[in-house]
Order: sequence, then structure tokens, then C-alpha cells
Amino acid sequence: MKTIRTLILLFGFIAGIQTIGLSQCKTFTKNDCKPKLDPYIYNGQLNSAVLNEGDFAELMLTFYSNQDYRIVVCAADELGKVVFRLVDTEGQVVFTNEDHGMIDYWDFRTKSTQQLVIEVSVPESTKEGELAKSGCVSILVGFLDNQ
Amino acid sequence: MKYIKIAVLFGLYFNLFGCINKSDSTKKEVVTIDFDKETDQEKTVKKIFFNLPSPIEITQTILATKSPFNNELPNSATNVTNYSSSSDLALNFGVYGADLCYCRVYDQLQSSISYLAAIRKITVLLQIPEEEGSETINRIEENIENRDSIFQIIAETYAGADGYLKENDRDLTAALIIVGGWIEGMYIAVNLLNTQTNQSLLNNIAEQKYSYENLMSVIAEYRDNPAIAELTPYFESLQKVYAQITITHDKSVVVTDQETKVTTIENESQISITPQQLKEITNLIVEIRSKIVS
Repeated sequence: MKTIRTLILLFGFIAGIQTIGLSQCKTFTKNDCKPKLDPYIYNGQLNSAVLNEGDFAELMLTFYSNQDYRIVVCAADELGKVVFRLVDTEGQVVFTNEDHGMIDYWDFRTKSTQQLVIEVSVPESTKEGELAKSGCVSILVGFLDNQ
Repeated sequence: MKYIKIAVLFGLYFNLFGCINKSDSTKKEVVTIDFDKETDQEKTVKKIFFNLPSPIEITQTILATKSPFNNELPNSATNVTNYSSSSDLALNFGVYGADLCYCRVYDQLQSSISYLAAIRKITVLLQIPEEEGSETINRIEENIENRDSIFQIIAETYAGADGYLKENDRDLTAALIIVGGWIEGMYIAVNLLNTQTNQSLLNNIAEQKYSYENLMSVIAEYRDNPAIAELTPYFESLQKVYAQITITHDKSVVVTDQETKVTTIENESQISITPQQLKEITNLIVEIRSKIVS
């Protein structure tokens, strides 16, 4: 009985942590990331998650032909500079911020509609014995109204 | 190096709002943990979520095809009184979201206001918190003359609702809204193509193959829900048609125009869709849409 109660408390605690994390991510995205899309129009898709040091995340997105896009990859300060790459369905890297001073956005258009995978790598800490850090990472997409 | 591979599938983050529904508290994330040893090149992988185009993007692409506005295509705003179950409300919330975008990109102000009213009604019926619903709709009404503001507000609403739904374990609602919004976007597209020969629009429909694969993942996740279960056979038929459509791409070349500073991923695509496939897609979309709005 005690074990069951402990498990229930544990699940409740984990659920609470998750909810707090998501809520904080939402606020972080709204306040710290969305402004970086300007003057592009936010497409309304909230792509955010709490990542840890050393984590690797990916998100596949569809980009329509002849539309102008901005991708913003926005990470909490405690995670440091995150690497992001855009990879086409053939596995070819079409952009990496490592070649552009670790910039946190990229503006581009695509000639044909296609899917691209956005890969995000959170650097691992080089300091031994330090607790692994975690923080929110958001991937936002904006487009220009070409009319 | 951790030997854990985590695949987090899901997060439904697209459209507007939701409803109170017991079945909403179904598992929102599928987490599989595989303790097999990875190679050094492999890293912990988190697939944050699948993605579907929002109605804003779908209607933008329709606008780019220069198709004329057809006021008979959107679901009538007066039909809002016909919906009472939480599933119907959520599905038609998606439908009206797409209709609102369709009307707004064509500057149909009066229709836009009607759809706003319909959305407001559903918001109330679904007991959406004020800060996630009505407040935003008020802002839309205040900015109805400004196209960019409208898009921004709608987009913010989507994101706000996504977060709200996720925080409150109501992913099923979000899934239903996604389905409604996608179907309505497709319904508008296939009907516009019925009245004209437009290669760009045809390509656009074929290119929904990408979205469709993700949509089917959403459908599969919630197939136990009665509303989803009723639509599933139609979606499976649609899946078979889309499986036959082929899209191939040339090698990507990234080019930056030195004058405009615009960077373009230059590659051509080859799309193969037959008239019969288009007809089957059209028929299935019309059937699914009819079930949702009637």
C-alpha cells in the first residue's frame, strides 16, 4: 500500500514538473523567441521542448514553393549556443549555423515545395561533476505575406 | 554517453482551442525507451513533434495560385448552431479556422466577421479560458482591417491554444481541430481545381502527401475516439491514393542573390499525380468534409 502511495506521489510530482516546464517554455517562447521572427509572420506552430545538455532533437517541416521563410531556433541561455542544421530528405545539409557564427535564425525560400528536417544539438558540458543543465528550446517558423 | 534512445512522438500544436472531454486525457506522448547500445555517432534523439501546415499556410498557397474567391466553399457560419458534441465542435473549430483564413486572405471582411462570431460561439461552448479565446477574438475584431495583424493574432492564438491544450492534457481536442482544419483546406483546394486547370494548385494538392503522412500518425494515435473512428476508413482510403503519388527532387543547391540577399534552395521537383488519383482524392475529401460539417 505504501509502495502504491509512493508511486502515485512520484507520478504526480513528475506530471507537475512537466506541466511547469511546458508552461515556462510557452512563456519563454512568447517573450524571448517570437520577437526574433519579426518582420516575418509567425505560422502559429508552437514547437518547443525542454532539452538537456547533449540532447539532439529533430523536427520535419514542409516548406512551400516560392514563399519566404525565417526559421528561428531559440534556446534558453543556460544551454549555451545550440547548433542547428537544415537537412533535405536526401540527407544533404543545406544550412548549418556553425558556418554562420552560430546565428539563431535563417532566412530563405525554396524553389519547390519540400520537406526539410531541422536538427538541433545542445552542447554537452565540458565541466566534470557538474549537474546536467536543461532548458527550453523552441523552433519557430515565420513567413512573409507575399501578396 | 547515455545509451538511451528516446522518441517523443507528438505534440499537437496547430490550431485553435479545445473542449472539455473526458477522453481528452488520453496519453499525449508516446515515449519508447530503448536501452540498446548506440554507436558513437548516434545521439539521444527527441522528435519534438510531427507537423502539419496551419490553415494560414494552406490558404496562403491557395492565394498564390491566383484562384478567385468562392464564397460557396466555406462552411456556413450559421451552421455553428448544429454542433453540440465536443468532437463536432472541435472538428468544426478547425473548419472555421481554415474558413476564416481563406476569407481573410481574400479580404472578405464581412465573411471574416461571421466566422469570428462562429468561433466565438464555439469558444464559449467549449469553455475556453478567457485569455486563450475571447480576448484574442476581440483583438481580431479590432484589427480586422489589417491583414498582417490578423495573421499574427491568429497565429498567436494557435500557439496559445497549443500550449493550453498540452498543459491540460487535451491533445485529442487539438487532434480533432487539426483534422478539421486540414480537411477544410483540402476541400477548398480540390473544389477550386474543379473549376479550372491550374498546375500550381494541382501540385499543391499532391504535395499534401507530406502533410498527410503526419496526419495519419495523428489519426492512428486517436483511433479509439468515436469521431476519429468514424472517419478512419476514409482516411485510410485517402492514404492508399497518396501512397501512389510520387514526388521526387533534384539535388538541393543553396544560392544567395548578391543584390537582394535572398537565399534560395534551388531544386526542381517532379510530381506525378493522375486525373484518376485526383478524382479519388476529391471524392474522399468531399465525403469526409460532409461528415464533419453536416
